[in-house]
Amino acid sequence: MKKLSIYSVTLFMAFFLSCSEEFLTKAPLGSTSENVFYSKKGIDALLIGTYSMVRGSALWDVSWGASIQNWTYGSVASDDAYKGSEITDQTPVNDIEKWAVTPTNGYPADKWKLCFGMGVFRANKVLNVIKKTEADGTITAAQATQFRAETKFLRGLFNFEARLVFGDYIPILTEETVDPTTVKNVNADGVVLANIIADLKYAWENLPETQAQVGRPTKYAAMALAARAYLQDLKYAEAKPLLDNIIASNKYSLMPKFIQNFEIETNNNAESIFEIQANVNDINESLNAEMGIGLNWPHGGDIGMCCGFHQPSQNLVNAYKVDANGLPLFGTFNDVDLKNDQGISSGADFVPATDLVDPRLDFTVSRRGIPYKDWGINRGADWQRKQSEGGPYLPVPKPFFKKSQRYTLSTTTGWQTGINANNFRYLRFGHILLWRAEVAASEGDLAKALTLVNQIRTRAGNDFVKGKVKITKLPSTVYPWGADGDVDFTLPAANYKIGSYTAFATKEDAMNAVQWEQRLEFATEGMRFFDLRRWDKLPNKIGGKSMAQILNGFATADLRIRQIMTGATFAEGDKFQPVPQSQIDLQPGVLEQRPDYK
Amino acid sequence: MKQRNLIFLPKGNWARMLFSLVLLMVLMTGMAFAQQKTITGKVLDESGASIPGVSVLVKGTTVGTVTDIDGKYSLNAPSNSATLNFGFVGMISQDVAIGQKTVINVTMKTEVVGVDEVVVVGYGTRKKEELTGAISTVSDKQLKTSTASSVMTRLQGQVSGVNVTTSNRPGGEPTIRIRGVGTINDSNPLYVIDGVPVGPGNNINPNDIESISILKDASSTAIYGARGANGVVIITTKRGKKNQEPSVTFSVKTGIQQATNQYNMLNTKEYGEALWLAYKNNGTTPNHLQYGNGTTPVIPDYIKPAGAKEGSAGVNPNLYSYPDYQIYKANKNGTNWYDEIYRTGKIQEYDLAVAGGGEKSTYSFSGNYYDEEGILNNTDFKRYTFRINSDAKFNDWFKAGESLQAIYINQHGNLDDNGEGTPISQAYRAQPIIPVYDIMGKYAGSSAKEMGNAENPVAQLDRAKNNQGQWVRVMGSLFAEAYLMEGLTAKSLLGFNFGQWNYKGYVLPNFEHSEPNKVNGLNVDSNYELQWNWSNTLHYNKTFAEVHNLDVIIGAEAIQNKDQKMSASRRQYFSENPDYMQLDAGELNKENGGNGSEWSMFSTFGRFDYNYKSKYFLEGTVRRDGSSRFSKANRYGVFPAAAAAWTVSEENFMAQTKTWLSYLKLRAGWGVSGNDRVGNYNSYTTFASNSYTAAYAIDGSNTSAVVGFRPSALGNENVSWETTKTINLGVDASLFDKKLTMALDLWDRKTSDMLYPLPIPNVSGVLGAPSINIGEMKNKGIDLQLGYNNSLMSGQFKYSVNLTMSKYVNEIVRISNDETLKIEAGSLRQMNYTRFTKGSAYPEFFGYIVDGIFQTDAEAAAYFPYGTTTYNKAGHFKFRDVNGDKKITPDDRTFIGSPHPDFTGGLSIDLSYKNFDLNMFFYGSYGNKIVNYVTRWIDYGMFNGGLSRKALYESWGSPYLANKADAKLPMLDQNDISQQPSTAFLEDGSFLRMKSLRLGYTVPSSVLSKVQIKSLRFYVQATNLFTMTKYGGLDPELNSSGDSMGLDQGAWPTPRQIMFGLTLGL
Repeated sequence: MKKLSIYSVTLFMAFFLSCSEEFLTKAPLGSTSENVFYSKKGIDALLIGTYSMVRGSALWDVSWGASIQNWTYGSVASDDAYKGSEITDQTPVNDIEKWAVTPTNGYPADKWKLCFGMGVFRANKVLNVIKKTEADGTITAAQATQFRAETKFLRGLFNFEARLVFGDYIPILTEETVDPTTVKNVNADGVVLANIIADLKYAWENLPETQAQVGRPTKYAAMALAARAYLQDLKYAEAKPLLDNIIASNKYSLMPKFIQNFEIETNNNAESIFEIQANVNDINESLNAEMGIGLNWPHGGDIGMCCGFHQPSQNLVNAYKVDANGLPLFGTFNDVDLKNDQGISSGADFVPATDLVDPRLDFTVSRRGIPYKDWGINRGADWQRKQSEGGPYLPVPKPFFKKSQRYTLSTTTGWQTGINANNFRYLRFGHILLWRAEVAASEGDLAKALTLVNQIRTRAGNDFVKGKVKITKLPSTVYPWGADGDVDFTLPAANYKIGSYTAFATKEDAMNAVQWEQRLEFATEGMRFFDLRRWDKLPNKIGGKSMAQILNGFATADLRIRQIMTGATFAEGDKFQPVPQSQIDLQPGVLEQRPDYK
Repeated sequence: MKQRNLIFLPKGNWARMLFSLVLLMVLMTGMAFAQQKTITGKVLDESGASIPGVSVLVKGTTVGTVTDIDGKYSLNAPSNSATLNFGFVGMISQDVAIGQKTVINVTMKTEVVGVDEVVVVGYGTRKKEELTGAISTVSDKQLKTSTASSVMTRLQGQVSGVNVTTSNRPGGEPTIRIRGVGTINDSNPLYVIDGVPVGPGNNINPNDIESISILKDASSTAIYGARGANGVVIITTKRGKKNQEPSVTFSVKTGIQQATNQYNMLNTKEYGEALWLAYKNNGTTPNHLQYGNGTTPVIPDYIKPAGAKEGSAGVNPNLYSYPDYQIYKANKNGTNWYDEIYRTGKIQEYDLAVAGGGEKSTYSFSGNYYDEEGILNNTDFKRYTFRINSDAKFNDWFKAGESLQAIYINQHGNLDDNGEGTPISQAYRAQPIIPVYDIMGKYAGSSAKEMGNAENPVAQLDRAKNNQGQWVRVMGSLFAEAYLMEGLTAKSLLGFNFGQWNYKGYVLPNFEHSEPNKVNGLNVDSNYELQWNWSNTLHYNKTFAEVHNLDVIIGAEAIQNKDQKMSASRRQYFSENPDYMQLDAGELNKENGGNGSEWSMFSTFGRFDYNYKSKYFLEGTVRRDGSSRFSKANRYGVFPAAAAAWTVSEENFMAQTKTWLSYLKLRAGWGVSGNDRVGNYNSYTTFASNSYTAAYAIDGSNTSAVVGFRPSALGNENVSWETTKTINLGVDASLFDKKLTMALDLWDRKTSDMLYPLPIPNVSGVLGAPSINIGEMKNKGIDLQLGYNNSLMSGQFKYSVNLTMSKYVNEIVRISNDETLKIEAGSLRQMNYTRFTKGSAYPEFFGYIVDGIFQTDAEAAAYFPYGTTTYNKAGHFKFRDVNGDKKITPDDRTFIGSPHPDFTGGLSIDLSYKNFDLNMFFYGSYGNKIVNYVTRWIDYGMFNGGLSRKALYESWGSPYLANKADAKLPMLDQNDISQQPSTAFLEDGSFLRMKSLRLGYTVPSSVLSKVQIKSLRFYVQATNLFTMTKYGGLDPELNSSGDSMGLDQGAWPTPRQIMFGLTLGL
């Protein structure tokens, strides 16, 4: 018994002391630490993770407010489009639409999060890893430079996007920044732009003219983005050589048809300079396309997806009206609305307008009685979510796909089945030409401006929507094309006309035409608000009107369609979004709110 | 464990007879030669039933007998005998003077509080009288007060200091908080079943439980070290007793349950009126695709096609084609969606338990089947449990035993709770005009124009009917115990806990929905968890010089836990037959995922207890833990505790109070315990690949992305566990012959080094922020338990009343180095309702203060503007300018109320008369607030869903209100600013609920003995008979915790059950 006791106690003591450190060391499973990435393969893996953020979304980490297409700040806040859907859905966008944003609005907070927390942050991580890996000698100086150039392009892009929305009230964060939380967001004039340009300059000096993988930026992508950055501050002289360089490279040309900039089958085409790559169906509810526009699909009827946001405005539709020469109705375009089916049920008679319109209208806007891609005839109210609040037009069609591509090139599952493999042409040759035309107009080089604008208009005349409807009632029973003979596919769907300008009389006329052309060509692509903002600083502003006059005029006239804009007033202080209150709360004394929002 | 330290005498006549005979023979030997006097009589219990087997002893002699089957005895006592003693297990023994009597009849009373009640504590047991810490026990009887399937739910109101908020889903688990909210991290207590630590979960058959001990203060939980800070619940299952005849207990319970409450919604006609009211309020012309555009709303005959009339071309059934052309008739009276989704659920339970034992071994085994249908269509929960416990004693120094439990849970249907997408919520979000079915019997829904975006909840429940969750758990322990020398025992216990969770969820197209999913699919999960623990203890217990009682335990324990998760999904199946829908048959989106994690812990511990004459008690505990959850440098921690107690009533100077004060003990304790449940890998900075957030089609592919890496978590090596220091002062007393018992504890807990993943600003990256030891939280409170029991009518009528009251005050002392930091909970539809900061509780409600409604535009115009908006006008809220800057900005939001109750309490009343017994149980909470988020949908009209009657009849400007000033709601106009979090959403959540009423009848043993049945009892029980509350939602008892505590998004309401049961003992 005594022996047993001693034996047992010894056994106990052994157990007490036996436990090794190994037993208590449990490293995470399924993840890894930074040192794994100190190689060429590792850097590329981290770089892909950074590219991933140019999609402007990351599952639920950030969503609609971070959209790379800026459909809220760039489009809904302008005269191009409405929030759409219903007034009770995504209410923070009501405030963006009505220029009544407060600092607690969650949408700008998403944009900030994407640009800094996911974009700039990841880019800086990659730059640090490149530095270490280069210093170790694991990669060559040339390889390091290539990686660095791509990464800096991305960092420049995220900073550019942030500046579009927040202006100069953003922190400048680099790979050298020791503690990002102490970096203030009040900057001297020009510093923020200079920082963006510095990154892009490094990129254009070191990136190749072409890339084996189409998703990676080239030298010209960096130049194009830098040009756009300069244009925000009307720095025409700085933008001009970059634009000329791109044109002179002869690497790019306009696609034969306008619509080819918005079709999946012509992703990464001859006109593309930098596209945001989208893919679907590698995983469920595939959000490797841009989820930022995940709400912006037709909502009603048999086409129904979700959720009917971002519907073109009547003002935009009116802008496509042309005179007998196929030229815009600059001063009078919005006096009378192009006929629409607001308040008319699908079962009631409606004859589409017979006015002359720019053919780009029906590629940019889907209206009743006009065939919508291959989805059938737009049946009006039955396909709309709520006309009285979102107007008579379907969500903007440019990012949409064809019915024949459904479930193969669009997401199969979940409620966001509008998400598809259509790339967003972030920078394309069309931009370059019209920006160069703008530079020319500003310089008084009227001939150059004329040539470039007409080049765009000529291409726009190459194509139009075909299929004239002969029926005037389009209830759901007419599905999808109506009976045989209800649509005549040999005829244009509407009375299209587009003409070239013969000459510009003055510098102002030229600028006016260039501005109008940019609106028509890039409508609903999230640029309009920012374009109005920069043009507001031109001597003649926007065709002689200030941004406030344009937007307030739009709001007043829009009461003909909807009542949402009642009481909405655009003022100087609404040109930029507020610094997110949630971030100011986390960095008190460091981040400062824009004076307009204090 | 409650057991009486007397000879165990199994109930039932067979045993009693046998025992009586033996005793009789023994006693007879001493009787032979004295002068004798014959005394006869009968012994009855309080119900008047005779008690066989009662020992009747002439005091001071060995002369005695036992009562026979009819409770009668006859005894030849020496003629000089003065007193007879009557004794029986479980009854108060009685002395009766003999005097000149020859017939002595006695009524024996049940012993209510066992003097030598044994309580399970960490790694050991104590007599109740020896306790120094704050430990509550729950008896088998208390557990039977509730009919809930979950043991933890049954604890509600039974012990003080434990807050239990129930979940009403079938099989739902409650939230348990012991003494306030100890941390913003996992503040669940540690559960230990038969020596095996387990997570919270539906792990056990309540009928298997012998006892539950709840360790509340650090002096009792410090023995669990880094896992004890939020209290420990120790569950001990039933074991056989030595020399116990086999006993078989069979019980059956069956009944029904129904929902008792629904939201008060508008019907179709009223809904149209509300729409027209909103048009008017918004200053817009009525224009509705269904209700028309006239001066008054017109209910259409059909809603799909929109607004169609009977006989119009579009409603011709020949056009019907599913799913492309559905036709919905308008439900002109209005669909009551709650009537459509509620049903009467059946509940049944069968339980068989066997126990017994011989000289050297004991056994106990049981099987239980529990089947509950939920109050919502197609929901159910089935649980099968099996248990085997056995012990074997090999010789006088070695003993071994085991516990083994197997549980299988099988649940079906949509059991989602408290969220905007659940069937309960879709039922208030669906408009009344939508019929349940279209003209061909397929589901109808919000795809008709202007119908909002609610799912058809009937369809939702129907499509989820085959969704299945299955849970298998096998757990138990093996132990061996050796008596090494006098007083010294060594024990080794190896515990294991294996759990497997499988889920199969079907995705079926919902074409009738306004945001439809049109492709079918399947989601499957398969997760397992495996844990072992090995503990070794040396226990020394000895009494020196008859007055010094010493009890020392030292031990070591190792635990390792590993889990693996796997999930897979597929889309597009050729057939929607649930048997066909297997992973292999899926055609698209073949997605698989999985991950795992593990942790381990090694600990040494010791405790010493000393008492002098059971009058003065001292206890000291220390535990040292090493945990894999922290970096090497911060891995080990030491948790000490000490406590003392003084049984004042044992002192000589208390002799004169003995007449009324039976027992008085003072306790004081101090201790430190910890919490390490903050994720397993807090110290590691990691990168991870992710197919969503780090993937990009860099090569231009349309259907595949190149997967890269992203920074996923920021680690912090300088982190260690939270420590909670508790001071506890307690008084235990019993008065008036132990009729009145009381336990009062005052406590103060301070959690320091509280781990908090301080939100990092975006500029530091969007990635998992590490927890750091930054916070401090205080909880202080009072726990009170009061009991009174007595009887009337010479014991035939017995009654007892037990009251528990718990109060705590929670406060965050520190959450960050930045004292002004305010942290918001996740947003619901872009709005945050709760927040916490230094000085607030965790959490509190945050928002504007509404000072009424503007009655005139002039009044509104004169008031401070709401930002730069045009919000101010008649019919809108008047928000208070809290900071006095003459404008209403987000800075005017403030803390507006707390979800924490001022106190909670339970009241249990037991009455019995003869063979009938009646139990009533009440539970209440006072002073807590609830944010009724549901009102944002139904009172304010978010998303054009269903509307409450209040929205039409009591909103500002309602034609039904004679006086606008009487309006309860602002103007119905769906204004976003009116929906900002404010006091308008805050409601008083206080309630008093009659949780249970049970009437039982025990068949007298005199009847049963004839059919050789040991016991038989019938009962009928009803739950939730009434609730007194001002709360407007479905149920003030809301199971939400953490930073969304008190936020009602539409939870399952408390059902009313009516149950019949019987228990049969053989």
